[in-house]
Amino acid sequence: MIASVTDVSSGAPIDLQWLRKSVESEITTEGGRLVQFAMGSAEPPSADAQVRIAISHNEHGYVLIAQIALGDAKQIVVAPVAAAPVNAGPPPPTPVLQRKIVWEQTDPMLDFAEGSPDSNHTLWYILGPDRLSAYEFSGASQILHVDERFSRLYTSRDSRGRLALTDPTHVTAWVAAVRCEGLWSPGFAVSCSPNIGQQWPMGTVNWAYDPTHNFFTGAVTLSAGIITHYPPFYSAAFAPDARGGNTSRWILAGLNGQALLFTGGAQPAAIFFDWGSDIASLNSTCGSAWQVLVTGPGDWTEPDRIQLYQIANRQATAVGEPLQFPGPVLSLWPSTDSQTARVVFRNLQTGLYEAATLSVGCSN
Amino acid sequence: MKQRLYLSAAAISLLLLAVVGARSARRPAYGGTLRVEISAAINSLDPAVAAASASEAEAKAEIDGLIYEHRNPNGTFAGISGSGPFHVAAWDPGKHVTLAANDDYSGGRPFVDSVDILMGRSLHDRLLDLEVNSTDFAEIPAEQARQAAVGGVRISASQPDRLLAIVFLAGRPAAQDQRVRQVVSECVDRSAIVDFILQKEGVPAGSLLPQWSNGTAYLFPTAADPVGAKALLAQIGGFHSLTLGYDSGDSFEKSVAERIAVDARAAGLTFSAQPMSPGNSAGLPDARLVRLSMISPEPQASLRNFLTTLVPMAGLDAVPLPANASIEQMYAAERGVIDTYRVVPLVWYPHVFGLSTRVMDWRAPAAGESWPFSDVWLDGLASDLSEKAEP
Repeated sequence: MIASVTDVSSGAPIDLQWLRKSVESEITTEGGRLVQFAMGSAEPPSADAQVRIAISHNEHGYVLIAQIALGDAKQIVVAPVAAAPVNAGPPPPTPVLQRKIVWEQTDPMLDFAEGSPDSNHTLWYILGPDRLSAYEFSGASQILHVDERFSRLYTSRDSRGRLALTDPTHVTAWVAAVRCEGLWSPGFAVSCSPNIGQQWPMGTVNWAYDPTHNFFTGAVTLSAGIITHYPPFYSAAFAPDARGGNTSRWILAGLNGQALLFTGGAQPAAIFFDWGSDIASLNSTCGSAWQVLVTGPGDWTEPDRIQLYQIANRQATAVGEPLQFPGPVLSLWPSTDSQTARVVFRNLQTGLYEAATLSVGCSN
Repeated sequence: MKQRLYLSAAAISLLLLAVVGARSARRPAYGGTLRVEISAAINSLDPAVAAASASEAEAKAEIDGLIYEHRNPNGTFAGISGSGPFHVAAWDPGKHVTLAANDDYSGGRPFVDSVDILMGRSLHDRLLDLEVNSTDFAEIPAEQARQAAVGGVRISASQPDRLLAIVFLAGRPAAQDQRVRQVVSECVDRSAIVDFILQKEGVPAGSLLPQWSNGTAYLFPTAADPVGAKALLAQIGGFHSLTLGYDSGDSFEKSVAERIAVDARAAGLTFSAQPMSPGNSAGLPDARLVRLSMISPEPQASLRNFLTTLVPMAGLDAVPLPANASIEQMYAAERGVIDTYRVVPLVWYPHVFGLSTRVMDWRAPAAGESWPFSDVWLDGLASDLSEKAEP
C-alpha cells in the first residue's frame, strides 16, 4: 500500500509529519503493509492500493479527504475534523457511560427485567435459552424463585431473546421462535406459543427474526403495517423523535461488521466500520445529538467494549472512552424509554453471566 | 491566531478502514467450509471396527465425536452415525471425508456448513498449508508448537491432558526386580524432556493424573536423583540390561526413548531404545513408552480408564477404585500403582492445534471433548450470507 499526506487547504494548523505517522501506524495496526517510495518516482508495481490523504477546508471547517485506489476501483472518503473551541470558558459537558451491574448467575442469560408491584417488593425476571425465571425480593431477602421451562421449537447455538414488561407482574418474552407470557395470578406461570411471523416488537415497529439462525431477516413492519426490507441485521438503532417515537433514520448492525445508516432511502447514506453486532439508541440528557451504544468487533473468546457514538451529519463520532467488559457482550437492548440500556455479558474470568444497566451521565 | 486542530483517531480510522477492510462482527456467522488436515489415514468410521494404529484410533474418535450424538463416559458413542452435529456427506477411505452440518441437531446447527478433512497429510504439508492459510485446522505435535508459532502459525494448546509413561510389561524377567525399575524412575530427567524435547510445552509427571485435575500430583516427586539411582544400582549389584520399546514412526517417542537411555547409562544401567512397528520381529521389549489421553476432565473417569489399560499391560494386581471415589481414594489408587514402579510417568503435555486466522470462537477442547467444530465460525463469510438472505 502506498500512502501520501498533503495539505491542500493552504495552511492547516497541523503537523503533517505527525499526521503521516498516525496514518502509517493505523494502516499497520489494521493489517496493511506500507510500501516506501520516493516522491516523483514511478510507483512500485507491488503496491495493491494507493491512499492519498489531503487535509482540505470547506465552509464548515477542515476535512480529511482520502482518495483510495484499489486496482481499477477508486473511492473517496471524507471525514470532518473537529476544531478546538475558540472561546474561553469551561469545556462543554461530555457524555460519559455509566454501568451498574445488577445480576450475576452461572446459567446462560439472554435478557432481564425488573419491576416493583409495591414499595416493599421487587420482581426480577431472568430469561434463559429455555426458561423464564422469576425472583421475588422483599428488602434484601429473596422470598420466592420460580423457574418455568419452555420448548424452544428451534435450537440455535446463539440463542437470542428479549423481555418486555407490560406491568410489574406481567412479562413478555420473545425467544427464538416462541413468544411467552409470564403472569402472577397469584403464583407465577408462563404460557408459550409459536411466534407467528417471528415478529419482535421494537418500539413502534416489528423486526422479523430468523429463529434458525441468530439475526433479523431485514423485514421491518412499520406502525402502519407497511413492511420495508433492509439487509439482514443483528441489531438496529433508530433515532428517536421528540415525542419518543421512531424516525426514519436507522442504523443496522449488519452481518459483516459494517453498520449501515439509513435516512429514509433504500440505500444506506453512510457505512460505519469496525462495529460489533449489538447496538442500541439512548436518549440522554447530555448532548443533543443522536447517541448510539455500540459493542466491539471480535469474537466470544475476547473481552468486549461498548463505545458511545454521536450521530450527526451522517458521521459517527466516538464520544469519551469505551466502557470495557471482561468478556463478550451477549445482548444489548434499549429500555422502553431509551433512557437506559440492558446489557448481558459473560465474564471470561469467572465464567459468570452478568447483567448490567447502562446510562449516560454528563462530565466536565 | 490559528485554531489548533484535533484529529481524532476515529476520523483516521474511518478513512483507513475503507482501505484495509472491517473486522468481523462479534456474533457468530453461519456458512462456509472448515478445511481440516490430519496425519492419520482412517479406513473406517464405524466405532466397532478396530483402528490399525493409535493415531488412526485417536483421529477416528475425534470424527466419530462429530457424527454421533455424544460420547459416553467409557469412550463409546451414543446414537447412530449422523445423529451428531454433522453427518458424512462424502467418504473416500484413508484419503478424504466431508461432513455436512445437521440442520436439526438437538444441540443446535453448527455454524459452518461443512467440514472437509484431508487425511494422511505430513507434518510438513500441514504446517505449510497453515502458514499460507490454505487450511483452517491441523494438529501439530506438541514438540513442534514453538517452532510453528515462530513460523507465524496461530497456535492453540489444550490443558496438558496427555500422559507419556514407561510401562514395564508383564512377564518380562529383566524387569522383575522392583529396585531396577526404581532406578529407572529415579534416573530419568523429566525436566530435560520437557525443556529440550517438548520445547517447554508440557510439565514433568510423577503421577497418573495431572495437578490441574485431582490436585494431588505435587505429592509425587518428579525430580531426577541420579546419585540415589546409582547408589541403589550398586546395592543391587550385577549387570542389568533392559530394552525400552517405542513407536518407530513417532519422532517424539524416539527422542524420549533415546534420552532415557542416556540418563540410565549415566546411572550405570543399560536401557536400550528399541523401535517397535507392526512388522517388527525384534520381539517384545522389557518396557515400552505408552501415551494415554484423559477421556474427561473428571479425575475419576480418566483414572479408571487409565487403570483399565495399565493394569493388564503391566501385570498389576487389580486396583480398587470405588464408584464416586474420593480424592483420597484416587490418590491411594495412584500411589498403589506408582509405588510398584511398573508404571513410570514421564511428562504431561497438551494437544496442540494450528488454526487459520479466519477461525473464530475457537476454544481448545477440554480432556475427552471432540474437536469443537460445531462451535467455531469463519470470519469473512457474513457478506455472502447477507446477499443470500436479502429479500
